[in-house]
Amino acid sequence: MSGIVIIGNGISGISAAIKSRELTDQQITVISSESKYFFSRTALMYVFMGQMKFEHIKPYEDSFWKQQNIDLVFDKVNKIDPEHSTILTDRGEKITYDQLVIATGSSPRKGKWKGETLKGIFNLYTMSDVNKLHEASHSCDKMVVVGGGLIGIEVCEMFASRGIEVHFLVREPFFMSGTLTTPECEVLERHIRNKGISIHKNETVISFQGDQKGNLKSLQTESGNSFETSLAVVSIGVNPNISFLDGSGIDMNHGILVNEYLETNIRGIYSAGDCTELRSPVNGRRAIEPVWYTGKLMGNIVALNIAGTPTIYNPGVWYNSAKFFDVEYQTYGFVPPINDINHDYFYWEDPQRPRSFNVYYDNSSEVVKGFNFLGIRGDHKKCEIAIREKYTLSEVMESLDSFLFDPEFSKSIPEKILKFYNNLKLINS
Amino acid sequence: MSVNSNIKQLYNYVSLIGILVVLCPLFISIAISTQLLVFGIGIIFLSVVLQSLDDFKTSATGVHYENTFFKGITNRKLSAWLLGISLTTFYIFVYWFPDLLEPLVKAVDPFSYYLRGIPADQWFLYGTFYTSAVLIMGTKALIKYRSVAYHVRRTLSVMFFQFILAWLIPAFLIKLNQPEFYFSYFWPLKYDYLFPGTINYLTSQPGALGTFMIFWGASLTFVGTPVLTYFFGKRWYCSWVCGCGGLAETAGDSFRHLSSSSTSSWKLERFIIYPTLAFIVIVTATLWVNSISNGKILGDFSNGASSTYGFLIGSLFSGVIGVGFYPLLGTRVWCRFGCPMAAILGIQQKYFSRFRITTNGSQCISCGNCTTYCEMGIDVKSYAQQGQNIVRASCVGCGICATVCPRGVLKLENKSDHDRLNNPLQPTSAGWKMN
Ligand SMILES: Cc1cc2nc3c(=O)[nH]c(=O)nc-3n(C[C@H](O)[C@H](O)[C@H](O)COP(=O)(O)OP(=O)(O)OC[C@H]3O[C@@H](n4cnc5c(N)ncnc54)[C@H](O)[C@@H]3O)c2cc1C
Ligand code: SF4
Repeated sequence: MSGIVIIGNGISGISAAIKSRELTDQQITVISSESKYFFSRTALMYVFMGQMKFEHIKPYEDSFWKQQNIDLVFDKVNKIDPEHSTILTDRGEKITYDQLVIATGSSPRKGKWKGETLKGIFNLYTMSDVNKLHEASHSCDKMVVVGGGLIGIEVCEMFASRGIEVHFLVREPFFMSGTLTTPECEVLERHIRNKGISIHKNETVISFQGDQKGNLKSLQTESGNSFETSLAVVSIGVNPNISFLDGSGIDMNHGILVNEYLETNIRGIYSAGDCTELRSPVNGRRAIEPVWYTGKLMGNIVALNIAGTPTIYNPGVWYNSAKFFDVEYQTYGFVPPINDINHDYFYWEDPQRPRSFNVYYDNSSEVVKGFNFLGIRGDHKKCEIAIREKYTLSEVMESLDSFLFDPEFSKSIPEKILKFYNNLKLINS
Repeated sequence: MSVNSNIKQLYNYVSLIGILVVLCPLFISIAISTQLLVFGIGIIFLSVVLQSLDDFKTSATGVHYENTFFKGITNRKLSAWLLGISLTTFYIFVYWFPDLLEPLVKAVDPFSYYLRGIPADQWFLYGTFYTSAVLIMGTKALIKYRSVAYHVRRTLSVMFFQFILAWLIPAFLIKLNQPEFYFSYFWPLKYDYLFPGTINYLTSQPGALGTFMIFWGASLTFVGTPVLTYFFGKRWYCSWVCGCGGLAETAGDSFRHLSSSSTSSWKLERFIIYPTLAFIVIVTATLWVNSISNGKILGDFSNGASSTYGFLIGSLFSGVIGVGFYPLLGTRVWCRFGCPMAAILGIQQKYFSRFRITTNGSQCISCGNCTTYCEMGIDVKSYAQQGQNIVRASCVGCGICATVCPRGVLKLENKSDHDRLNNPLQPTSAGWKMN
């Protein structure tokens, strides 16, 4: 084999493969160890909830890959030998490459707690995790989620959908308080409690206790509380999958280090997605951003670079989205949880429904820095333009309609926001 | 099993008992069949409403689809097959063995006399069941979708059109000695409305109403439909007015995810629906040729073609398969593969309409919810993940993709048509280029 070899068939590796096929006739091979076919990791929760089957979360039909002439290999890469441009797999295959893309993603972070290997403690990252959780859920009527992040809240929803009592342990003073402002956190907290979840805030796990058979019985927190449970899901972040690269000569820190073209220190070897660490991130973006959107763009940029169209990776204005039970969340640009003296929030909240709109802006120039939407859909393109082109708050308000992406017959939302804004202006003047 | 799931089971049993009560005159001769019918439909309605209030008690802030693939009835298990077979059997009786339904027809006699002034026949029975299904399951849809204004309006609209225009008004027309006429159906779905026979019959009626009906039907087919479709897409008809769509969106709502979204089913769709359209156009044309030439040119051919169409498409396809197979093939089998009206509206929607589903920047996470819950089997995600607007002939604009999408990526819109077909997202050195 030669041509382009890609390790990992997540969104990053697959984006690189599909874009490469668009650009070149070279042979393209994707090697991955979790499943033969690409599936959407972000949709795993819906499989657990019976909202979709596994076949529904594969974004392409199985016949697509043959049509595209992309070879899929279901195997694990154990070693890379850049000197001979070869990789070694679990099944003893030796595969040579002309260009190599490493898109091995990440794995759930461990807490280094006592008792962390007991039976009954799980993560959520792979399809096999979902199967294990499915089995375990039959024999439990109560469970604990450790870690108040975006995956943690998905786990809460998953188990709540099966009528299981969920205890959600959050280390911070509020769920999402590292990202959202306090009023926004309160909107979410009310909503999550309404859904029957018990949130326990300021709780840091220190150890797990098991019975003689090695089954989880309870877990203890720093504050001295103990939670009885036979099932816990830990979601405290992810770490890049890079240990198989030890000794390969590829520069690594927390992730695989790459330049602005996403190339490693070795020519012809690129990295994309969760496993990647930028040497010099721009635009105030972080060096490692383990999200879907980053991986998708990186995979595409790598393909352009391999095809001989040098393109720097510059993701532009940050955006992300999530869903907390029924409440959709979108963020664009920069909205910190706490403001500094030069900036302010324009914050509107619906008293009737879990819904809020937050604009962070410079209080002297009124230039907008970012938007948060909860329970309201923002228009991605419009928000990005506004931030890039330095719209002022009043400019945003003048065309507020165009910043929203809510379904038809939702006109009352911008009307309410504008009314509130005009009242505020009146009071301030 | 918890108390909660016992109660859920109970609702199912009550509905089942309701159905048996309605049907029992078929099996034992009984004098109070009308009372049983009213009572049966009453308890079905009650248990459906109570069950929906319970199932969707947390739906005030969002629509829920979880557990769909865990329930046998919505996952092609035994109960789904039983339901499919029962529905199919009922259709076969209605079309070809109406005598077997005589005891039930008798049960709706009093309503028929009251509304129409004549005794009931199997079609009145069928219409009554159909309308009840739209109203009862429409109420369920209203509860399920109460957090989304678009769905509430759309559901109320199909309930209104079915109940008033497709049931009450045609019945009253008969009572007033006027021709039975459905103001919410047009050619080519109601194919005989442009047949020479129908037109001659309507013009021969005393009074101006018959002529008005011809005028109404023809102007909706040739003027109203194109204009409305230009402004709103085919949804104005398929998911706001049409009775077939009305049943699909209400009684069929729980089966929408069973429509296949494979590329091969899309091929099959185009392979069947356009020939069906051609079939009815040819049938109508030959009937006219025949009528104008007094049968000299085509002889019996056109009548033969017309009754073949009536049997194959009008009865077998739209009724037996179209509705009977809801629990196995999904809700819109007829609308997707067969309906010639949908075919015409679709062609126009694709090439000459302001309607499209817009995608929101690069927010799609390829989760597949939109594709799974599309009742027309459109692979919505294949467009959304590339940031491309969805402009497809078959889209009926039900709006469920936009509701089920967890990232707010999809929006149904009627906007100026200059950027309706946009380019896919392009990666650049400044991030995604969004078109
Ligand atoms: C439950 C869940 C929900 C999420 N929801 C969201 C969301 O809503 N929005 C969002 O932006 N992000 C979300 N994320 C994060 C997002 O899914 C990841 O950022 C993204 O999947 C990373 O893609 P990737 O291709 O870089 O890596 P991965 O998806 O991790 O894929 C890497 C693949 O490489 C394989 N692999 C690893 N090592 C080897 C090896 N040595 N040899 C062969 N194969 C190997 C792995 O088995 C894996 O299949 C979520 C993540 C999870 C787990
Ligand atoms: S439901 Fe939304 S996020 Fe999921 S695939 Fe469809 S458009 Fe993308």
